[in-house]
Order: sequence, then structure tokens, then C-alpha cells
Amino acid sequence: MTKLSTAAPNRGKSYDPGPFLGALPLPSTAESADRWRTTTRTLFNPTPSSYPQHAPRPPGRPLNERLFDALAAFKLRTATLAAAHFNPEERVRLFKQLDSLLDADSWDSADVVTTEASFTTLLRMVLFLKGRQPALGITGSGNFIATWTEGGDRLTIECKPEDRVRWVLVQNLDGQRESAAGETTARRLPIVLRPYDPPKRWFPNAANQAPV
Amino acid sequence: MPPTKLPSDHHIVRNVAWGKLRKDENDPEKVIGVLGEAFKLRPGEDTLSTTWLEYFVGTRREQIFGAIRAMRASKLEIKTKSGFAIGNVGNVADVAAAHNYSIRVLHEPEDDNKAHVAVRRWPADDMALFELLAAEVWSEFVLDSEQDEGAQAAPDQSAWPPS
Repeated sequence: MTKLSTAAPNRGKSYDPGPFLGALPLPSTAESADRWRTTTRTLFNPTPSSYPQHAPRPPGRPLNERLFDALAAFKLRTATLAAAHFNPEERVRLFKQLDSLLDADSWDSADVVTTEASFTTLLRMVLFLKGRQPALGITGSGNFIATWTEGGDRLTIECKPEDRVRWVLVQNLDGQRESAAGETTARRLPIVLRPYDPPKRWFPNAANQAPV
Repeated sequence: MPPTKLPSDHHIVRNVAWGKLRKDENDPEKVIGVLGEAFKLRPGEDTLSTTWLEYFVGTRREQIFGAIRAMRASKLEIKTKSGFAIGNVGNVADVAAAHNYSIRVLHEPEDDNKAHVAVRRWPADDMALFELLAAEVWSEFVLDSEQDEGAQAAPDQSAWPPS
């Protein structure tokens, strides 16, 4: 017959979980030690993408906080909008560009922090063009700039909110300089650029897929 | 005394923030030029601020370093990843004129930068012109990180005209 113990458990000294890391299993092999180090690094120094989406924050926050939040928002937006369209390599590449561009140590404090609205246009444009991913820059007013360069030929596109794009092309054809500029939507961009040849040179896949 | 108009064979240097430098598509840390955005006026600005290269004495390399040190010593925010675009005054004016802008490139010393040059009658926003300048005329660039450290205010007197 089993005797049931009805005595209150002796708790003795109350349980002290100590620092958070105390709850993690200790590494037993070199491989698990590496995993452990990576995990703790993420816990203590989270990348923006590991943060949850925040409600709008009050204005007047320090620049580095605003840049960090913007980065987090861009990476989340990429994950939600474009995860299926970017392979891991392309996503890593994009995130590296964003990390470099929005680095607080190199950011000009007079510039408006780039907006999610502009980033959404950038993502959509890159998806529509289905070609070489661009290099990135920024405007002082909070928009992303996408650039493609081939020798002295340059295509530069400012991504404005609500799918609007402003583009400038400077290229040399048979020794003659040609430049053109305009404004359209991200969706129509491949068609608008078609007379200037770049879709075939730079976005070969987009030329046949863009909607008319 | 009216401001001095810069000779057309002289050069002006514009500080360009990291985000307005043109990067290699495959390497976000590799700078291959400047963006036209670097020449856009900010809201409230009516002149484009630059620094006069020939204000400084020495070889061209020394003049560039002199201009950069003067900008570092000024109120400008120069970050280690910033760049500097160098343009020939006459060429910049010619390209602007082709776009119907009659610019004036004037030495207008300021308290924090005696070599300061104001480009007047500059368009607030003309992306086509700015990209053309960045591509062909105002396209020479140096990076802050490539230069020796140090800041030094521009001297009160210009090295030009040479005595």
C-alpha cells in the first residue's frame, strides 16, 4: 500500500533562478558551446529583426533608437512581404545593406530617418524588376534610393511612398551621352524604362513580365 | 567688399554623407561615386555650401587635405564614412547652364570656415541635373577614412591669388 505524504514540502531556501542565463543548459560539447554562445549573444545583443513590432513611439527619441526601430521595421516588413520572393542569400544581402546604411555612427543627423512607406515601395519595385538587386542610398527627406551602375552608366531611382518612383538614367550609347528622367509607379517602371534599354541589360526578367 | 567670384578653373569640395555615396551593388561598404542627392538643398537652404580647394596652399593632394581639415574644424557633421565630392567650377556652371540655371559660385567666408563657398541660384531639387553632375562633372571623390586624422580651421587668408 502506498503511503501518501500529507506533509507540506520542505522548500528550504527559496528558489533563486539567478541571472537569466542560469536557466540555459550548460554546454557539454564544443558544438553545443558554440550554439550556446550564439544564443546568448542574440539574447544580450539582439539584432533589430529579433525584436517584436512596437506600437508607434513618441517623437523626440534619440537618433540611434529611431534608426534601430526603423531597421527592425524594415526587416519585419521584408519577412512579411517578401520572404517568399527572396532566397536566404538575397535577404542577408539586403539586411547587410540596411545595417550599413542605417548605422548610427555614419548617419547624418540632419537627414530624416527613412520611412517604412518608402521601404515598401523599394521592396515592391525590386520584386517587380526581378533582376539585379540594387545598391542603396537615402534622400534627406526619408526615402530610399536604389542604384544600378555599369561603368559610366547609372540608373538611379528614388522610392517614394505609395508605390511612386522617381527615376534618372544617365548612359552612353555609341559615345553619345543620353539622359532621361521621370516619375511613375513601381509596377510600371519596367515598361517606362523599356525605350531606354535598361530592362534588357539590367532587368532581363522584368521586361517580359511587367503588366501592360 | 563684394564676395569673390571663383575662377572657372578652380574647384569646390562638397561634404557628402554616407547615405548619399554611391555604393557597389555587391558590397555595401564599397563606394564607387556620389549620388545626385548629395547636391540637393535641404529645406530652408537657398545656397549650396562647399569649400574652395585653391584657397589652400600646396600640391593638389595637400589642398584636398587642407579643405577636409577645414571642414572637420567647422560646424559640419563629418563622420568617418563621409566622403567629399570635388568639382570644377566652370564645368559645374556649364552643366547647370545647359539646364537653364545661371549659378554663381562665390567665396563667402564664414566664421567656422574661411574657405566657404556658396553656390547661389542653385535649384532646390532637380534630380536629372544632380545625377548628371554626380556622374560626369562633380564626380571626383575622396573618403574621409582615406585621409590622415586632424582638423584645422582654414587660415584667414587665401593662398589665391598667389603672391
